[in-house]
Amino acid sequence: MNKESQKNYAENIANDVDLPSNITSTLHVKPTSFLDSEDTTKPLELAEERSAVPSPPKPTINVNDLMPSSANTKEEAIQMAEEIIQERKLQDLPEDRSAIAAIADDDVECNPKIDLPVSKEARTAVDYSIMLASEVEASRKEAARAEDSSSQKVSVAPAVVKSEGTSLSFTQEEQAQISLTLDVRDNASMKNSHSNSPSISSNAAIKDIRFSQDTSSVYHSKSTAPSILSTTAVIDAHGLIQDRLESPRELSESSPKTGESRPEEKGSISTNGRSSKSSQAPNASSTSKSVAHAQAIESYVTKKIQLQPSPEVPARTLRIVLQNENGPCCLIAVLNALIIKEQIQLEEQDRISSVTLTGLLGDYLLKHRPSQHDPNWEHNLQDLLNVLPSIQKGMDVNIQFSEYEHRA
Amino acid sequence: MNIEPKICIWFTNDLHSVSAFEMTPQMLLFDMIKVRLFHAWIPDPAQAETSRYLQNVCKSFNGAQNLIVQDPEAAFLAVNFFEENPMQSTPYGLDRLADKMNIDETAILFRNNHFSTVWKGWQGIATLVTDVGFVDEAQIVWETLQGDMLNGCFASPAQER
Repeated sequence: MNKESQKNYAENIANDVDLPSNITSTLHVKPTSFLDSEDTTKPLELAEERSAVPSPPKPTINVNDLMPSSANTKEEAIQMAEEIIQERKLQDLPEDRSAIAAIADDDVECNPKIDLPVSKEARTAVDYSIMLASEVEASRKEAARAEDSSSQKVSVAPAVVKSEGTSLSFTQEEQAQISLTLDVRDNASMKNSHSNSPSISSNAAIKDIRFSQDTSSVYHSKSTAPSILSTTAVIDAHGLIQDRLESPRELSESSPKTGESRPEEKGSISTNGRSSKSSQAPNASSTSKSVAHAQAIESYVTKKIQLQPSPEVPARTLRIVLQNENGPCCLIAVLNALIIKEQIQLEEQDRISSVTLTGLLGDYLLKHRPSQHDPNWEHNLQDLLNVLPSIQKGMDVNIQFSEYEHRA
Repeated sequence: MNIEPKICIWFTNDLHSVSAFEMTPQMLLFDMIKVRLFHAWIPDPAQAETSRYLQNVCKSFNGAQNLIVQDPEAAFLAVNFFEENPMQSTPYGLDRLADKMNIDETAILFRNNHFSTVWKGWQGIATLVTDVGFVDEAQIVWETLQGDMLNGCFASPAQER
């Protein structure tokens, strides 16, 4: 996120609570102990976090530059665009391709940049996936770094980074789409948590999303820069959105689902299932390798406990998440609270990945979406999803001494 | 005649809140999952000067830190308060927490720069033991605020025998 808005936010907060505006210290809770001061994580991470899924600013061709002033015919314009791409030695930037496609499709009404209607639910699901993807990306980078050190696998890291680079320079819609793939691939075990839930395919939100994805995949095949990766994303993304949108409201309109088969295996095994699906993509197998690596890094031990709050109730067996030295204590505490309240349940596994952890929380939130549309709730959900990645790194708390209360 | 205890309370000081945190987007997490977040880092009203200083001058932890950075001597009340309670909780605060939580409530407690899952039973409040070192200790599930380790039957009145 950008420094400016961060600063503004901090100032707003300061004004709100009537503090001197030059506050510099924030009680930042690190996953480990507070003596460990190497991390200078920002005190506040806000809505802009989402845009961190980022596209590197690169020069692109504007359709208006080519048509109609400088070119007389459509073919000429396409030719010019191709030349410009070659001159700039651009690596098939989707934006450029879309410019060409836009010219080519001008009168066929198949503009890939058309703003398709996407319902709020679908947007939320996509945003949520972007959030997860950014998190996965971080752990993947870590994996890539780790693999860099072992000379044997040096080739793996660039391959992964390249495929990310491609996806990140897509348009916003496609970006979401690609993020979904990353997410699906990396969230194998999260999918398992749904294996017992009914699946949905025919609600409006999903139709919208699917429509937009179909359009963009058509555009890809037209634009001579076919992206197998993104086509795979179209397939995979559906399953994810369907998973994400499970809520009582949507269950009522559920119907048998086709196409996507859920892996029955537990945990990391379904990562393999994923790689077979995306095996057309040149880097798929190496990607899933490094993903498996990333998951090994970010996972937490679980423990089975017996709880019996009072002798009148039967003892319950629960599985809780344990805190290792780098674990996000806030998230783990929250998850465990929900587990004790029997709102969520962990798989019978000795370890749980951080991605699964966030996924469980996300599922809980979406499942508890109010049955009556509540703009306030939706807004809060959006805000929360935006800061969830930052909560993983550490939570900022500021205890208020000024607030007094009467004893009830 | 049944005299309500709160009649007397009107004559005492108002109480610091154990659930007062600055609202940030991150705090939405607790709101949205309907799990309360508490702390126990409040001054004893018996220390009237410290109590008033923290309430009216510092206003918040960050505010106190800021004042201490500017002039540690002037902010000596805050300095002392933090030094006397390095675990970010006071005995008084823990009492207030016990008052505030309902029986059989699961909540999150912020203490010692750490968030832990807490639960209140008949016997009091205990934190869930999540230290990875206890992974094989099936009989250690809870830790009381006083530091006693308990099993999963904690707070059962029958266990008091």
